[in-house]
Amino acid sequence: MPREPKASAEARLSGASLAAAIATAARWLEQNAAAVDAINVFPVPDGDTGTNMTLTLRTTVAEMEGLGPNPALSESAAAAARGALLGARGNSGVILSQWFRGLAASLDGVAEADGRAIGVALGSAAQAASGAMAEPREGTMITVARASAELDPELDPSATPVDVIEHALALANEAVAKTPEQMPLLAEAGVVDAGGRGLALLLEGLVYSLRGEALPQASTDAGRIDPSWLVRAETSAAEGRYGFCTEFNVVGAEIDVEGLRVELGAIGDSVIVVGDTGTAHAHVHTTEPEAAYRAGERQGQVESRKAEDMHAQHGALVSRTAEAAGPAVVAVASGEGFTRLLRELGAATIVDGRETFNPSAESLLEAARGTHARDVILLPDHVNVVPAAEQAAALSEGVRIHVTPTTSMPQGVAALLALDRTAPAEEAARRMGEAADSVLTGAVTWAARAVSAPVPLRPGQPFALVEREIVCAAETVEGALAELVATMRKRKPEGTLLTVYAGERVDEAEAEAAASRLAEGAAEGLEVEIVIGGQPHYPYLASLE
Amino acid sequence: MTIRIVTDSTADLEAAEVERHGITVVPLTIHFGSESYRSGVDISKDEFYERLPGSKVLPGTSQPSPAAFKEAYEGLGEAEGIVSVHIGSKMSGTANAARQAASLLAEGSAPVEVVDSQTASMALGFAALAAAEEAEAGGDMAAVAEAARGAAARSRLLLFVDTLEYLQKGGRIGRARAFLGTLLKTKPVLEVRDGEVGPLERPRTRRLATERLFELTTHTPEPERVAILHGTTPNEAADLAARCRDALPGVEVVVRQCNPVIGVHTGPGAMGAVILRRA
Repeated sequence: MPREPKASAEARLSGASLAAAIATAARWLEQNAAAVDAINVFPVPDGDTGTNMTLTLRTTVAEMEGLGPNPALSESAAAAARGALLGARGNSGVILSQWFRGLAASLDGVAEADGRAIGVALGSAAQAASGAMAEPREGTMITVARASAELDPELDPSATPVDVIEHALALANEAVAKTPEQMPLLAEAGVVDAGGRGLALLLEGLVYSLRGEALPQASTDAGRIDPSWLVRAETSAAEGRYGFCTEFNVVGAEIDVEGLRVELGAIGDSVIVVGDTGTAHAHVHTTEPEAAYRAGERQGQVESRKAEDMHAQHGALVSRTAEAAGPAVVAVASGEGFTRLLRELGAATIVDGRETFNPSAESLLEAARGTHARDVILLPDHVNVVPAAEQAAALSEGVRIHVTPTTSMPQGVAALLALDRTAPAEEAARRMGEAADSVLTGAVTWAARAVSAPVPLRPGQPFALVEREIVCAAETVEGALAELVATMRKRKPEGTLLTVYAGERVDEAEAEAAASRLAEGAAEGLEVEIVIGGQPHYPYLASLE
Repeated sequence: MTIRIVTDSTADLEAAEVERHGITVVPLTIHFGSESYRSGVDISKDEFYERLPGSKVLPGTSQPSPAAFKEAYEGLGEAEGIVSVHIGSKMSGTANAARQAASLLAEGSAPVEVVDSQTASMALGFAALAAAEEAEAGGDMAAVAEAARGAAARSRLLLFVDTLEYLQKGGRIGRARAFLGTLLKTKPVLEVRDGEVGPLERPRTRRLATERLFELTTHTPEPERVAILHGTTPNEAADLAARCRDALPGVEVVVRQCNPVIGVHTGPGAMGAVILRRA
């Protein structure tokens, strides 16, 4: 068994240690600012969360540098809260300032704190942060702050301050990883919440300092926004919905913080107003910054006005991201499940390919151009669409199109799984074609009309195809599926994974039942995975690899 | 001239190798909640993998303190020079801590050259061994450090994970999220490139992933030494190693359990390979 953990770190946190730790955390955040900027999508993808948090921490540190030698912990925390409020930039900066305010309030009158008191202070900080937002949303910095304070009740009561903060960091990291589950916007963009990530970095910086460890030289990788998502987001930006990120301070005698919050709420969103009757900081996303200033002027003197054009910021982020991304993939698909799956696997754009509306070469070309990538790999995913794809490639105006001639959506999935964005586009497309050919695909559908060969079929009768060749007719869809799988296994005995895609007319329970029948009936060594494809015309599509 | 080699616990060297070449191994630290263990000293690899699935929060790891390095360097009093070879600086702050320690040594201490291997596990291990062999052959500081850098640069580190759970929990899925996905089961193959772990391929099954690992390993040109890595599957690793030996006659193929610093992100069931190409 492992030995007892080694004793480490100060048992009580002093004002000087906090100041040093926040200074280190500020440096750590600054080092990672670009990585945090790169994943900023909420509330607006303007790519400045990391920068805003860094700038807020800069004034925080500056204010703490004015402290005398050996300050009490309460003085140190109060200076941090003051500095953060004065320098708060952006949504995330304001939330951060409130987090510090909560921390300071909890440590008021405390000269030095033990681990337990730090745990309580983290809770108070989280609560204050959540109070900063007029309409707190889950999956943001606020969620991460709260999760970081939900310490394990079984945590050793003698845990030192740094032990507690390290535990909070682990909880924060876990919460950051979960943010895409709470906010669909993040999941669509393929990132975690930027503000939450920033807060976790802050905690990490504190831990580095309090453990006496140097900061790593390299910055961390927080991921990157799915470029296709950004392009889609650009459409809403073009509609002028973003407006200006407007901020100002109000200095007065009787500021009505709540009243100002309501007034700003009427002209924009992402409203934050914090402070007291003497000084307040306001933040709003609005198309009318002047109206926001006027609302502030009714409460006192308005200072430090700032209105940034979020559309321009967003545009800069789009071009930064597209450049680094490599070839984009455009796939033709139908069915909600397939659309989601292909997107998740890295397709930038899905062209709706319901068979009766085969996409034209022109619409494929347009989709390719819309990715803003230099090279586009096109997956037609149906035999009838391959000619249009070839035609689009021949036109190739303003974009180089490479066609991987996939003839079914399961082939498209196999091709996309083999996508290597680091390879030259032509080579990548060729390898995707090989991957598509390496899986055996099949389908179950209904006869549109009577057929006599190779298998006699009545109109409406279920039948199965392997690689577009009719292999059997059956009385039921399930019967056709069972025969299809048996035939596929005979053709590819070395296959170990069968993926069955359930179509739009198959409900989930039916699909699960079919999958478990297949798994039972299958010989050992075959894994069966069922995926809701939602495709029209084919109750089941299958691939064996 | 006596030049000694220092490395860290992510090199996955075995006790016998360490002893034979007089290599000093400085441990990184694993944190389960508020409990800290020095990797390979307070906790074995098996103990780590046993505890990993049951741990409520993902264990953290931290680099050795500069003090630990300083102590290690000072303990090599008889050496005329020290080459300190470490896990890539994009994965850990270890090399940085080593550099700091080197700057803290007293005047007149043996010179220390810190080498950032830009890699880990046996790719780092092979670099440390190459440095030790060069030192034993009488090479000077520059030659020994170059031997380490060269071996690290000629090594390829591949891994596949059995579950995405640990990459996700650790927030390390980052850039790879769009690539890895969650709607379809995959056993993604990852490769260390330019010091960072990046996704390489997405086979659907463990068997196919193992097969790709075999192909990528045996198709790497000019192999000199190979290490098959695993977390919790020694038998599968031994089978793969045997196949690699058959396919690559004359090439030494060893099996190593992967260190916790990588294991915490790859989770149990991960397998990998390190291929050192000939100079």
